[in-house]
Amino acid sequence: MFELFAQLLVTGIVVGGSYALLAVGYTLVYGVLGFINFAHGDVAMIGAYATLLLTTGAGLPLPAATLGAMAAAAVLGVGIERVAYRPLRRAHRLAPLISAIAVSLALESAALLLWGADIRTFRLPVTAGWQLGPFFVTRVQLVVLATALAAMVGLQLLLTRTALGKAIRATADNLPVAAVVGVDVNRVIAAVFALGSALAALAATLLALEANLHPTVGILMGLKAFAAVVLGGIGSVPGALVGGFAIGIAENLGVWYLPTVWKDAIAYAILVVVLLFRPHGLFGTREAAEPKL
Amino acid sequence: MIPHLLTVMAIYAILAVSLNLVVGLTGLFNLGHAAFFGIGAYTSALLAFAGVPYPLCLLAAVLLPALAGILVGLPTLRLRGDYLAMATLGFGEITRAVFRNWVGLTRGPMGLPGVPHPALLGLTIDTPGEWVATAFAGLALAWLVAELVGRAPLGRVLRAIREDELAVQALGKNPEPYKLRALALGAGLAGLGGSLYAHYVAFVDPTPFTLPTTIFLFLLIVLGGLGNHAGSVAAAFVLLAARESLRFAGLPPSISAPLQQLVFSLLLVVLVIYRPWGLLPEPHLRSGSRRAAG
Amino acid sequence: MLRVEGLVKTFGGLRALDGCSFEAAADGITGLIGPNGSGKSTLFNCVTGFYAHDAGRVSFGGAPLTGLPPWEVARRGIVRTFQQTRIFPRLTCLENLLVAPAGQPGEGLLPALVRPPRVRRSEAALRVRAEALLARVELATHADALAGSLSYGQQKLLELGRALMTEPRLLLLDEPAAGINPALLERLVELIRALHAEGKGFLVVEHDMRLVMTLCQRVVVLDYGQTIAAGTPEEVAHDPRVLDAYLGSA
Repeated sequence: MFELFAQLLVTGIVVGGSYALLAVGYTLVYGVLGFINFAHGDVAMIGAYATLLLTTGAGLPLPAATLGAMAAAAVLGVGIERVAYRPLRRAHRLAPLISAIAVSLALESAALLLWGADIRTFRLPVTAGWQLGPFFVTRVQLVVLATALAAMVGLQLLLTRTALGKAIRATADNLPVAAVVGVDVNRVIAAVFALGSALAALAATLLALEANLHPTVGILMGLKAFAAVVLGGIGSVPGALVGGFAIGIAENLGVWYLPTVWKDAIAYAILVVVLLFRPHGLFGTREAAEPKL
Repeated sequence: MIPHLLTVMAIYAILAVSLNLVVGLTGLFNLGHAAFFGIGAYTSALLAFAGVPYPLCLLAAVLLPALAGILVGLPTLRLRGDYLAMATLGFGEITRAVFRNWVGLTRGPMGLPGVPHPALLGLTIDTPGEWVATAFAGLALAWLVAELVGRAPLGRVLRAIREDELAVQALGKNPEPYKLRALALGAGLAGLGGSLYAHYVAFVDPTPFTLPTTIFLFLLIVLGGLGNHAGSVAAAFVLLAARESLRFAGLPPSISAPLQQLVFSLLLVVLVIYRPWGLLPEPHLRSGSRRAAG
Repeated sequence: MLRVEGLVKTFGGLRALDGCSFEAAADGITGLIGPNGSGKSTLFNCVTGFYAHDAGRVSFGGAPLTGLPPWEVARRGIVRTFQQTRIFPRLTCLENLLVAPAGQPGEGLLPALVRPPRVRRSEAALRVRAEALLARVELATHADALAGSLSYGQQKLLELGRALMTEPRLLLLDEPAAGINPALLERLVELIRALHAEGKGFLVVEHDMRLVMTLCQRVVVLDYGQTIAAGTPEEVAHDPRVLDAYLGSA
């Protein structure tokens, strides 16, 4: 019995790392634009398909394919911002939301047209794993977790040690002031979208390695990542990371009690509960969830 | 052929009007609206199977989604637009999961076939002509409700809430009860559409009650103009006619369905960028007395 | 009498209000000035219930306002305008005014659908008041224009008219003079004086010193979230602490 629990915990942590990467993209964009990019999950989905294509179609090894997909996703993300969101920065507050949800459906439809509705998998070779006490970890799981953690460290370094990172944090803190001080806000926004999209593609690829890929997973991933963001507190990068792991663990441990079909609903349930009782999440400020003065 | 198209157009028009009340008039970004459509459909079908006379099925199909709207709205309507969007999206997805997985009630993906014909005022509605009349009667009712609300002081407050909720607060009004009314009303009308849909198609399964359906409804209300109910109706007719004509292009469904979705979603993006408020303006008050001098 | 006692409001590490106290007569015209960052906007937001203050008390006419949501504060007769005008752009000017008063029977769901006579009577009465107020703020010719099409100065007047529809006791004006031309400003000042003569009180945040000195009977000065001076305009203008705050502020 405990082995099952241990297994679910391991799976939860591994999956949580990917959710955390997805959540970071959301929170970065929110921090800079004050807007939740609904198309984020679908960009992630496209990224995973891109990796699949590059491995099966172009025969690239997985790491190279993933990097290629991340680059493609970054371009896609920047393009979407430029075409579908930037023109609406001054429009009424519903407009960017409508645009984002439409872009999301457009991406999903394009994926359906390009790659069909059949479920795809990465078909990785089954490898051995290691037994660490009660925990059994496969090689794939270890690689996935390690990659996710490495990406988080890389992100942290970028945000704290580089000029771009400083610019991003300044803009997230106070956009008008940052603009006055000379930060090129448009470039920062583009960089944030590129970064978030690349991480999203990585996250989706990592998730797809052990699960099924289908155009409709975009919305699903987006919702779970958003649950993670809300749990951690929107606008907070550490919050997004903590939230991601929390959602991953909760979702997998939940399967212990509930039938598997309800697994996806766990993340939504957490989202609803957090929004009900503490919309600003663990690390956010109270005023974040309510209309701004 | 034509009666079928007209019936479907009328049902979508009802759904569009119901969403327009919530989004176009009040500015509530409800991404889970298809769930209300579904709750109405399942409620009506299940009650009809149990032998309940249709008028009561219809009533329940309106009241249950309205109640669901109030329950969902109570904790979430005070949240900001994008949060509300995600919360309602979550609600929509949970509802769809319930439709799919509560097999004991809904038979899951297999659906509920053989929904009985509705019997209203002694007449059983089972010919295409009768269905067109019924669907249009439902549309007339929905449109009437939307018009009455839109022109009433209630509509004015809802529009003010849409424009600037904080300013409404500063004037001495709490927006929440108004938002709840709008959401309940929109949900109830969507349930009306759901009941008509369930009994017309005579089969209910989870597939129509999804996010893409809601997004299609968003396209309809943006096309017709946010806050303009006549526009929503017109958009429903125009777009469904366009969709029908696409069917004759001879593409297989695995291509034409996502292609339609792609075209519609791109159309929505373009539309919202160039006309963020939609194509048609909403009706507003004109003062009766024309005192021109200032 | 609006009474603020020891108001404290912090944002993260910043103490925007640091034990601020003052009084404003409900039938006077009081000015609220201070250098940038002195806490004037924060004070407005706390008094009107948009921010929850961390410590201190606010009361109006003896009744406490602490902890009330914005609409309850407004119902007790304190109505504010905003620095960036918050009119309703896609409502007409007339509708902007009509939507303001509380307790309209037509705002309920059933009356909206059924339209009993009392709704029609209420609407007719409101119309008369709204058209009169529109004329008073010199926007009668724009009654049917969408508020979003007005100029900035006209929007400010509209916002004031809208606030007046609620029949407030004390009006909190947030930089009413900012961005409007001198001619319009003249008329605004006349309007404020006329309203004052009719018994309405004003608390005005302003940067325009001449306006404050000529219009206000009493001036309160804020700096670093505290009241540093209060008195007649002449007293305040010669107060060394005030001069220091404006000239010596880092």
